[in-house]
Amino acid sequence: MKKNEIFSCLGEPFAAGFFEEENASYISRHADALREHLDRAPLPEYEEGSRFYPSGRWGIWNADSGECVQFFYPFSLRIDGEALRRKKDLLQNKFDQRIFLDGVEELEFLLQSSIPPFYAVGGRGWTHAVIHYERILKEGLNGYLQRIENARMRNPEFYGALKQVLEALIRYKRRCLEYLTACGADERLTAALEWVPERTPRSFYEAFVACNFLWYVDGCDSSGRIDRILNSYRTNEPESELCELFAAFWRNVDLNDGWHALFDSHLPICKSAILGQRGYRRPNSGILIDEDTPSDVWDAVFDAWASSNPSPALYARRNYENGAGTGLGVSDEDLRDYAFGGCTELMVQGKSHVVSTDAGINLLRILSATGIRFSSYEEFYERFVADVKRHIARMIHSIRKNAVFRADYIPQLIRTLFMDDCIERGIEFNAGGVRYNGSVVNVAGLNNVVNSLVVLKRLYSGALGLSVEEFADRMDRNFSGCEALVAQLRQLPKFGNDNEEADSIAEELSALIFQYMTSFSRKDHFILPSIILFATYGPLGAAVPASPEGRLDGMPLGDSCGPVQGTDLNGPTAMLKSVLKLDQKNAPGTLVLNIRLNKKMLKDHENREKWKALFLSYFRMGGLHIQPTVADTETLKAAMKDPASYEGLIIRIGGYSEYFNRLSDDLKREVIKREEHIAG
Amino acid sequence: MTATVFDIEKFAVHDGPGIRTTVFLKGCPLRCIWCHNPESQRREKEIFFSPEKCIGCGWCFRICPNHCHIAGETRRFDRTNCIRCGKCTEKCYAGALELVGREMTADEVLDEVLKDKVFYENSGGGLTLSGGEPMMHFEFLCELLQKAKAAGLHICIETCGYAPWEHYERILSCIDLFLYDIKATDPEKHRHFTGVTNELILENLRKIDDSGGNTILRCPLVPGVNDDDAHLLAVAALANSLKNVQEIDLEPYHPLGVGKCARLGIASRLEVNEFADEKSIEKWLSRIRSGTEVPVKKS
Repeated sequence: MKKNEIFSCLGEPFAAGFFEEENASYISRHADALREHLDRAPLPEYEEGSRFYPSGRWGIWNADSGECVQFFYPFSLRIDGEALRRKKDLLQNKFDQRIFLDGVEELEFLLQSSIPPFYAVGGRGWTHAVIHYERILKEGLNGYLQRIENARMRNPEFYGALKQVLEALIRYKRRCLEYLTACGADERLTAALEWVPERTPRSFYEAFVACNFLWYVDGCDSSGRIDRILNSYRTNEPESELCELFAAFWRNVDLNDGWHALFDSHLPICKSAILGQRGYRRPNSGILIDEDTPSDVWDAVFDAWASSNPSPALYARRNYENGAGTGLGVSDEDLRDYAFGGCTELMVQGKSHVVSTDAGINLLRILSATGIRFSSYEEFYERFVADVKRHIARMIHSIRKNAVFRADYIPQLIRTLFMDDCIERGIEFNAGGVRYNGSVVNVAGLNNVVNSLVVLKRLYSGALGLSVEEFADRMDRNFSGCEALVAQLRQLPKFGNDNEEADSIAEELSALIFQYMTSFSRKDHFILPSIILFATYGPLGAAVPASPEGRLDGMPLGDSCGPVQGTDLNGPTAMLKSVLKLDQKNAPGTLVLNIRLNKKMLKDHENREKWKALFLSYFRMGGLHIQPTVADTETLKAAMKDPASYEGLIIRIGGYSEYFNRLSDDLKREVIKREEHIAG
Repeated sequence: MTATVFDIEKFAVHDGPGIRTTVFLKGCPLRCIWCHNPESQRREKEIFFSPEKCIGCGWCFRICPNHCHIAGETRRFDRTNCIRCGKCTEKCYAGALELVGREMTADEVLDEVLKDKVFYENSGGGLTLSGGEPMMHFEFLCELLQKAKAAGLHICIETCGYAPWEHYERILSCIDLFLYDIKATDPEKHRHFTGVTNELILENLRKIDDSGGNTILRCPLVPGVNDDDAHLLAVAALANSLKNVQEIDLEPYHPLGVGKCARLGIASRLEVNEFADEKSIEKWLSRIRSGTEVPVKKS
């Protein structure tokens, strides 16, 4: 059998398409793969009474059919290698088996990364994006087809591939419609899908049905400024209808681990989006806040938090507009379209390719490699900074090398179709076809390193009463038997307490790192520094031995850009002032700040006003972002002991929302350690 | 001029309007049986000892000039000869020994308070002076108030009212809001609960009110101790008799003082280990509300 026939008979339409014309270009081969999947793969099941289709866990690309090779938006495909290799035994013929394994090897080759594991800090070439929902709705898929047709003669192979995928998508939707009609689906739904997404929606509901469908087409990633996009289709739908539709959509987002959505506090529809998310962990929603945010929207946010859902997080509208302008080199016209992908990575929706998070540096691991056996603090610091810069340069070199590989081997045709300006320029998404290209790069352990540098300054000045060698020996022994020393270190100034000594180190170091990172920005590829550690601050610490601040071998790093867990003892005002010392303007990638609030503090109007004043003060001083977790310590401890009784408990962790029960025990302990701001 | 400060609390949201910083001064003329800050009563520094935190490093044994720390099967701190020099606390990295109170100048306090000025400005907050009884450090207080006023801060003072009227008169112009404690309305009960009668306290309150000073009456309430109807209604009547009371705040009892007494090595005079229950609190609120139009809130 031919290779594509082998994969086809093994129930692998995507892979079969990919091997259909092995000598064709990779763009054509990926188009064949997508087309074959869309024409052959089973459809997602219709859920009785659902207002949207698809809905639920199984979407367009991951239908529950045992397909081991699928389209996957970050890397253009994903492979369940083990299960795929097991399919070899289904082939009787040894020769077929050899051909099959040869195919598997080629598929696996496509998923290699040039980014060394050392720089896998929160990501290793993972790409989030927000497709151009607004334009797709406006032009309809038919409009896109027309644009491709008009440009076809300029590059028949490129546009031919796009046309093939788009036509397959339209065929797929028609298959869906036949299926829905056959199973007697809600007539409103079938009527809407008769019209969209090929044509411009005629109602709010049709617009939402189209967005839902397109969100599944894109692979269940981020939905960007969806409230604003839908708002333009509003007529007189009652609020209950809006909430019901948002709730149905967020359910799909939650079940598919979807990512970010950004609400606009100046649009009344945002309240329905917030209310609809009650009980749903995802999206990692955020809301743009400024001085003019209406009080009823603030109340909707506080009500959501008080219901134990930490979404939406707060984003400082004006600071992002300024930061986005400088960091991305975005035109004023496009600035209105900034949004976030993934956890909270800044991008321009529909117009940017931001590899987020592409790679990063683990600052504490670098410090550990630098070592501390030097003759003076100055000598140590000079070497450490040189090491940090060397790693930044190497990390950025590796992500650019990776970008070249991606462009050559794993073209992303769904995003090439739906992101400006790929069609106009005739350039594929991964090859730089969109208007803005860049990478969000991560920094881990900055807070730990600041605390460590406080200790080292004292060590070298003799204030610790130990020689450098004696201290290094104790640290090498993981501070074993040195409880008094560890306790002594714990009492030294820590980042997060509005302490001049610690904060000035954070100010200098963050500026040095972020500015060095951004110095690598090019016109065709910007670098956006960030501190987004979501659940990775646990595993990232596992690779780092004991550190000068008194942290023991393998213990988690500090969470994102806030204080190390358990070390901010001076209240939220002090904590925010410390974080403001970080070079926020140069790191709009985002600097994620988690804050744990006590639910009781969110109940009455007077206290809400105080929190509001606190957050707005932070934003006025240049802060970018705050995300709360609203659960008191007792609740979290109880959930740790009795997970079954706390299935719905959601926390915000380093950039995204997660069920508390899904965290490892180590990470649960770290979340509990975060200072709860009760106040008073 | 210095005062003994035992805590400076940022983002204090229960001690007046907006986001505030509350400065707690050490020393109080009253000895309330329910005191939840027993470390605030004496003017001089004291030492908190939490044996459960001791890691047995031995530093305190070596450094104490009067050999107050005793090792053995049960780790003990004999305070008989303790001069509260604080040397042991400096070396106790485990945090088992903590010095309560530090001498600070008005400038030092103000520097710390002004760190959060931006938050006060955005929330209508400011500085709250509390204790203990801040009037116990009168000269220091005058200096601090003058400087804080010059810095444009909104100022609250939480006071038990037990100080010479002349002192209140001198600071009146600097205080935007008095958080005025009403612990018992009956003079005898007041003496029983606090060690002093309340004539001077009520007299000062009336004079402050007559002088145009704004007040919030703050009423600590302990179930079964000072929550009788007569007292609750008398609080309402008191509020009715004053012109500038903005609010009555109820401060339901919490037992945190009991543990602190143990850490100070003194006996707690009220062994009640339960928080005031919601039912009692609701009852108190409605009882007082039945007697006055002044807003009544749970603090």
